[in-house]
Amino acid sequence: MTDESNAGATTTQPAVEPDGLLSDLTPIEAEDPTGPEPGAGVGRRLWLGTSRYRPVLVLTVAMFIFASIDQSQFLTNENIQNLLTAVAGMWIIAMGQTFCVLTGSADLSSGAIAAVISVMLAKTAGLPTGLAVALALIAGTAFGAIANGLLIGRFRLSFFVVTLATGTALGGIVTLWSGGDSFLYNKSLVNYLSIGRHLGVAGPIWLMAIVFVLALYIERKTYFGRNLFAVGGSLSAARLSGIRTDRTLVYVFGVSGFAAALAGIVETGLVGSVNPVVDPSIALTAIAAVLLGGTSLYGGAGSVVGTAFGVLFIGVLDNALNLAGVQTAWQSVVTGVILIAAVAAVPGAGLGRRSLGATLIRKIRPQDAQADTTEPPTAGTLSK
Amino acid sequence: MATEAPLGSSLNGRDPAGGAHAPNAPAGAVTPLLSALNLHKHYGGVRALDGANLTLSAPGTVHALVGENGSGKSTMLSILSGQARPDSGAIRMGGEILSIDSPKTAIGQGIVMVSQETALALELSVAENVFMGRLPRRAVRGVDFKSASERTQQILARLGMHCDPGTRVGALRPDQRQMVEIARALAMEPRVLILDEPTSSLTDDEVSSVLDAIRLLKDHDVATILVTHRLDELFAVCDEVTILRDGKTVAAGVSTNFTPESMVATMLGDAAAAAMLKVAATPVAPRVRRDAPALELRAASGQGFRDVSFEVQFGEVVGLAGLVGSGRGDLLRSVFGLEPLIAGSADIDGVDYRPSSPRHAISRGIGFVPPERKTDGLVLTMTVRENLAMVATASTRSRPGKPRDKQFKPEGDMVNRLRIRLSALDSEAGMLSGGNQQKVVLAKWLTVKPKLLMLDEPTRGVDVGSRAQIHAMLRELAHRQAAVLVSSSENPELLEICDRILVMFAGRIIGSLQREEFDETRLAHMTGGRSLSEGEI
Repeated sequence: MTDESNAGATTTQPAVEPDGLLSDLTPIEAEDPTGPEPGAGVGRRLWLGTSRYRPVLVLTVAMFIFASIDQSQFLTNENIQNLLTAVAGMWIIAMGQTFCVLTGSADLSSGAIAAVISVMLAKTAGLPTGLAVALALIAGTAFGAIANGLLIGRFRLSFFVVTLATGTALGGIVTLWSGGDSFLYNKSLVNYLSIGRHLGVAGPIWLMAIVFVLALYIERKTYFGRNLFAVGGSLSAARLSGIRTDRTLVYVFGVSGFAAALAGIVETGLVGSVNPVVDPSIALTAIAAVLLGGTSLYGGAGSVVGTAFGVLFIGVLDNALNLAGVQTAWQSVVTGVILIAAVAAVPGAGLGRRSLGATLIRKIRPQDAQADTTEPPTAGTLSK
Repeated sequence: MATEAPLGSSLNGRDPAGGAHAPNAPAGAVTPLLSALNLHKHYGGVRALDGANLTLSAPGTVHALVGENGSGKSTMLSILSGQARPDSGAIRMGGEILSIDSPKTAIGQGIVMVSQETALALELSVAENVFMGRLPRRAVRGVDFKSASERTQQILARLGMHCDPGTRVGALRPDQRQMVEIARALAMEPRVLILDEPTSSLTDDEVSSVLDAIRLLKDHDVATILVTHRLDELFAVCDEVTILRDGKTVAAGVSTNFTPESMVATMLGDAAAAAMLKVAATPVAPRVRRDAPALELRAASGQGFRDVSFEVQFGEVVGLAGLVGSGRGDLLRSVFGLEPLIAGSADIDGVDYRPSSPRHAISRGIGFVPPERKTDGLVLTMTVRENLAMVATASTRSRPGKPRDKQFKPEGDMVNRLRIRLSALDSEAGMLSGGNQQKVVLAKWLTVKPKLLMLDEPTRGVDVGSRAQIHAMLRELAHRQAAVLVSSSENPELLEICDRILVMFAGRIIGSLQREEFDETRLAHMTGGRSLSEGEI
């Protein structure tokens, strides 16, 4: 009677083994959006896989097409490279942030780390550039892992307090260390990474591609990547399964520190000088891009792929509005509005498990209410 | 499959109070209070309800709705309480057809549900919780706390609970909190009250006060639909029963027509019941003599327990009985390295063991099934496969080209031969029912073949069928020479599966019972704090 009888389709075990522990492990919901049928086409599976960041994906593509038609200067090699270069720093930081957000935290100190690393480059200008860059990357990673990671992972302090505090402190160090002065910076290796072109493509775009592929590999293929989801999904369950949750958090903030340092180096090269100021918005904009990309603020669900589209969305919007001669302040307004819309449309990204979209559909067509209702209804609904 | 009638007598509806409910049952002399006939509901391709009936005969009756997880109970409740609409079928209240399209209309019709998960604001008072969102107001001075408090007291008195309505809910015991939830529902003046597993998170000693409250409701002509997995409490308070299987009503009638055995058999269906009996008949394992016990504790003290000494042999199932707060759970947590062991020493398989972290415990061959499966047992947002792989691969290092747990095939003697559907493996653990989730928690430990498996409340909130399967699995583990240490607040569970039961009281072990000495009354006395000799008087 149940669909148990065709369970044997996947294995060759005898059909009747009633004392099997998992033999009747049927999911409550019939249609699982995360697990498409094995027989589905590759295209369809790819499309289904985008469910968490579909709103921003659709918007970005639509905006791209619209800008290409509307603005003749938009779809040119030069402009696209500029567009990407402009978001390179944010892209790199956002990849690190994605890992933080997957564990249910975030790194508010990214901007300050990037600024300190920039000052550090100026102060180590006497060293061979390769060594200076290596030291800068090590310093960023070490600071993230030790200051942020240990306090959050080992001593269980709130990520919000810790990264806000370290970010504030680093902001002071930027001013103290630089003495408030700006420095010109012109080193061949850093220029190679930032303003250089290789095979016709700007250095930062190469870096973006490398960072993305690396992040995707870590997220999908390594146990560290799996642990991010486990820690974000349930810290205690992960710990009880033998996952080193404290160490995972230390690594995560190390990765975020590394990303911030790399972004600091690229931005220094792009600007050609070291300025003793912390960009106050870059960490939050990067987190916004992560959330636009469908990663849950509460951890446990999301992907760097979504983050890539989140950053591209901000980049395309900014660029198109610039070309159209619209005040850049509008970019912030639009980003804010879209952020709310995107988060509301993604199931699980907002507060409730049910997406706003699904709720609206329920209101309009109750018979389409889907299996949502199999969740135990809360008594809260009674008091309405 | 046509509607079976394994218990024909119960389906004949001779008794108006327990009328049977074929879809076209002729209207008897008495119109039932509430009837749901021939309900159908499907979600996607799954038929959740396939012609289910439920008839509540009269005001003041307590009606049990039982069935395994996935049998359609939740869907039935959702439909009655207005959270879902049936594809077809009719709901009548006193003969009139009801159209329930939202929880609000359900409440308007006098059907109020108290769901399984408690939803109380712990920082607010009892009165504020009871009247949450509907606090009486006065024109100028805002909330009328005096009248809220008086009315709360009246409602609580109906439940036989006496407490100051100004008490903070967070300061109440779990059973009292459950009572506040019921009081909130009563404040809406229901004719039919639906209680979805009101006792699933309570311990044996707390359950009785909730059951007393349900009995008191009868006197106030409130009819109750009670969903429960505990058959003992079903027979204690329920007048009539509806049993669902595969979305169908397979039996209904007055509860005295059933025995616990016939009820389980009806719930599971014939084949599954036969399989269960087979497992129950499995003989106790012949124990292989080993030099050292799997676990030996000597004068161990920690947070919540003092001076505890005992050993667990390979091939043995040892139970820890005791009230909540007796230190059972704390002991297991300390052995697993979650809390420090302050004094004493421990051996695992004859080698000195100092608990330091779960990871270390796992490396020494210890497994732990925690009491809270949703928060501690599983990562609900990850797939079943990833959860199954978690323990086995937690200490695995990543190497390029090496497949991660996306390709993990559950292995190990006991898990490997199980039929596992790919679609179930790759769906989120949060989509499974409670019983199936608990089986996944157990299975993830079986993948690493622990020497010692410790379980805290292994079948809390688990349906009868899954519970039997889990019990059978624990017996089989022992049969395969693993050591099993089970802590449970349900004494019948321990009496059923253990070779030996240790009783804890106030942090100490105050006695032990061998299988030959097992006796329910005696165990109950001991868990209440009476030592063996006193208990025998």
